[in-house]
Amino acid sequence: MLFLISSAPETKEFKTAFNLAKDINADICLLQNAVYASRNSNDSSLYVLLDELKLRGINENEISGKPIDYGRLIDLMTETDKVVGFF
Amino acid sequence: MPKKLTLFLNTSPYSFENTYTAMRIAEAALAKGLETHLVASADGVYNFLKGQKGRGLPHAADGFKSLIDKGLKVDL
Amino acid sequence: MDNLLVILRKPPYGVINAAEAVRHAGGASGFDYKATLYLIDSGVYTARKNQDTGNTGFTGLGESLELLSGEMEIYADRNSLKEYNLNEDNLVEGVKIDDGEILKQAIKDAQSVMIF
Repeated sequence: MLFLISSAPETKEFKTAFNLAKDINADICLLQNAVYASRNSNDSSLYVLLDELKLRGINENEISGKPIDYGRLIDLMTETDKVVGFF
Repeated sequence: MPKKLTLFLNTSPYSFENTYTAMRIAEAALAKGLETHLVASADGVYNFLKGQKGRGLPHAADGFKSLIDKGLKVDL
Repeated sequence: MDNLLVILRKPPYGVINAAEAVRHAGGASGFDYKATLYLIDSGVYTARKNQDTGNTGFTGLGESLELLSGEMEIYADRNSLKEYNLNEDNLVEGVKIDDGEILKQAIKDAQSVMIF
């Protein structure tokens, strides 16, 4: 299962989605303002959209997750049994 | 059977980043040969209004028009 | 049977999310889907009883939930209720309370999950 999370890290939406994803062992991909969360996390399993990091001035080496492009995101979405989008 | 992706867009074009996200995901999915659909609901339908003059952020109508030309199927 | 889970995270008025969540869950149920509507975070306010819409033009969403509870499962998250100082007595009829386990299972079971 893959969770797409887009809300900023301090929001309730982010926390609810993130905790639920962790609870059920789903993969997580961060997009939009959620990518900020990858700066303060040691979680190397997070996927993070690279273009969204760049847009926000965040360097790849500032984060611990896996930077990916949209093509790779499509692969993840089609390989998994279910996509849950917390847009 | 080719894989099918359906996106659901329910926000207006210039107050959120969802339009841009939907366009980028649709673009990548079409490039991979996926049958790609988008369903617009609520304020999402404003993404498809004619005569938009937005500047300074991704242009919703132009962006979706070019994706529709590449095979994106849109339902409002 | 097709199986749809709708998660609502926003309160009933102010933003359109709640009305859309109710509309989509209700629509799916009308088309013979097994629909589940799950209220979490401030979405639990949608189940608050005695919402008085007067002549505002808004649809009373508490009442809508009560009507829909006959044809679908509607849950409110216990932790969220606690956070917003609500208890069972404050809610419309037909809304069940979940400790989190039902949500996890519903996400696993659903063919599609819509989030509002």
